[in-house]
Amino acid sequence: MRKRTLAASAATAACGLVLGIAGQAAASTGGVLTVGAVGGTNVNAGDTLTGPINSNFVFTTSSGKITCTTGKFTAADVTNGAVGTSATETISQLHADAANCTTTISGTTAVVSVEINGTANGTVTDGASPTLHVTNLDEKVSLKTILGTNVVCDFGVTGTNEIDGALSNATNGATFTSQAVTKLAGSSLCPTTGAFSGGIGPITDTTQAGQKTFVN
Amino acid sequence: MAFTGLFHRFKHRALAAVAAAAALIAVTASPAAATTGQPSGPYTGMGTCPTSGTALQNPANAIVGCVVATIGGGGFTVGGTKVAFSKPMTVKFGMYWAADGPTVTFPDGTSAALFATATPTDGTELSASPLDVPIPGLSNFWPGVTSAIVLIEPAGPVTAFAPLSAGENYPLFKLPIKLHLLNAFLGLNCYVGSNSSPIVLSPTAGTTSPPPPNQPITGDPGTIAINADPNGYGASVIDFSGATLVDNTLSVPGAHGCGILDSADWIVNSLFGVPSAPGHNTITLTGVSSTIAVDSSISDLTNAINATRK
Repeated sequence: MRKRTLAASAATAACGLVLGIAGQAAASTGGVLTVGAVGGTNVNAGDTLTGPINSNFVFTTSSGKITCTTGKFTAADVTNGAVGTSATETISQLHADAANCTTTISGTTAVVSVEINGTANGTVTDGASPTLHVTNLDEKVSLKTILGTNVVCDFGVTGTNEIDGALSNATNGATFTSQAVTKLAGSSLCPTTGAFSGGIGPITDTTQAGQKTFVN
Repeated sequence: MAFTGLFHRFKHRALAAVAAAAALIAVTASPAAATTGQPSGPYTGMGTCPTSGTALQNPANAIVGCVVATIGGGGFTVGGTKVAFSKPMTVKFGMYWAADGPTVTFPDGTSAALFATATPTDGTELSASPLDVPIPGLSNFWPGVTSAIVLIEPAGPVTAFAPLSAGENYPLFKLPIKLHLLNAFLGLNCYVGSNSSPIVLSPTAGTTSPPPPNQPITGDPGTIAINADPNGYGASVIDFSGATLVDNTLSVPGAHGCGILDSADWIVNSLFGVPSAPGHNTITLTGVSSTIAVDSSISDLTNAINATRK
């Protein structure tokens, strides 16, 4: 009986594989991340997840703050465990549109660019308080200064430090609230510490027809 | 008759000189009447900033500024001679940079404008107290005889002033100096370095890359505070405090002008180990505090400074 079940499962999986290769996605479910609905089809490893800024990115320091109103988040799903475990992703873009950014940090006059430097790691945990844990984050910010040229400041988290965003299926997004980051590199004009707040969403799975993503 | 004519010519010249002096006083007094006293608050020490000079008044300037820096201590090692700075030194100058002026870009992406500088109105760019430098091998019981009194004198203007390089592995500025050695046997014109062949200090708050045998050493940018003008002008004031600047890449030329017909040059060279090639010399400037007032408008900067005069 057990052998038959396994055989049936294998056959089903093989069938699904064939269908998947043929472009008809297998409808696996039960993962931490799904598309379309809670309990919907799983986000697959390798899927591209992306979303816009839906709540101003605000980086607050002791000498002023940077505010950005538009931008974009992009990540690639790496794993998507069963409900109750976690999903992981590689974050390759945490971009803000400099034209829609302002700075009040002392000595700076404009925001030149805000881009992720390299990639960061994201881990989604589900449950009562689903959270996106971001580690290894290096956000590179270029600021025009009163001395005519630009300073580049890298802010983020290293080692076991992380910033956490609360995930919501109402917005299909993540909201970060006063998450502590530190200066990783850059000019001595860069503030050494600060707090990041902001939101991204709705996050969609562009590999699966741009469907909204949900955490289960 | 000839004597009388000479007297009249002298009298006319004297009167003309008096008139010219009076006119000069009137001209210099006019702006001072509205701007009496010395700058205070964040602009303290900037009374000699050449804000009305042609360099800072150039309309092509994108950024202009005034700088006052105090060096609290440190010292230098030249060849085998070590000298500590026992008293503070002060550096003052004006700075300017055109929008298409020179810049340097660092590996982290930061770019720094390289400011040109203008000499203060009193001509005193560098103020340093004399140093009493013992002569190697002699017990210094008679300063000036058994030691050399060394005056650190500027040998040209500060160049390539790059405030944004603070913390980068790059010189904050280049300062050409010469050492004026005073000793009973060396005469009044004994120098190490000259205007044409100066000792060029290129201190950094980052890490040096010297040739051997020197090893890299690291400075400290200290703390930085940036404040807006207290009276609402567009100027900003950048304060660097507690910085340590280092340079162990410099070279030091030999002595000249020492003794009768330079006859003692070789003695100075021998005693102090000069000329000294890069890799054998080090200068450390500690307790460096700098105030830089910057603005995109020279008139606004001038007004900002004048508003604090007391």
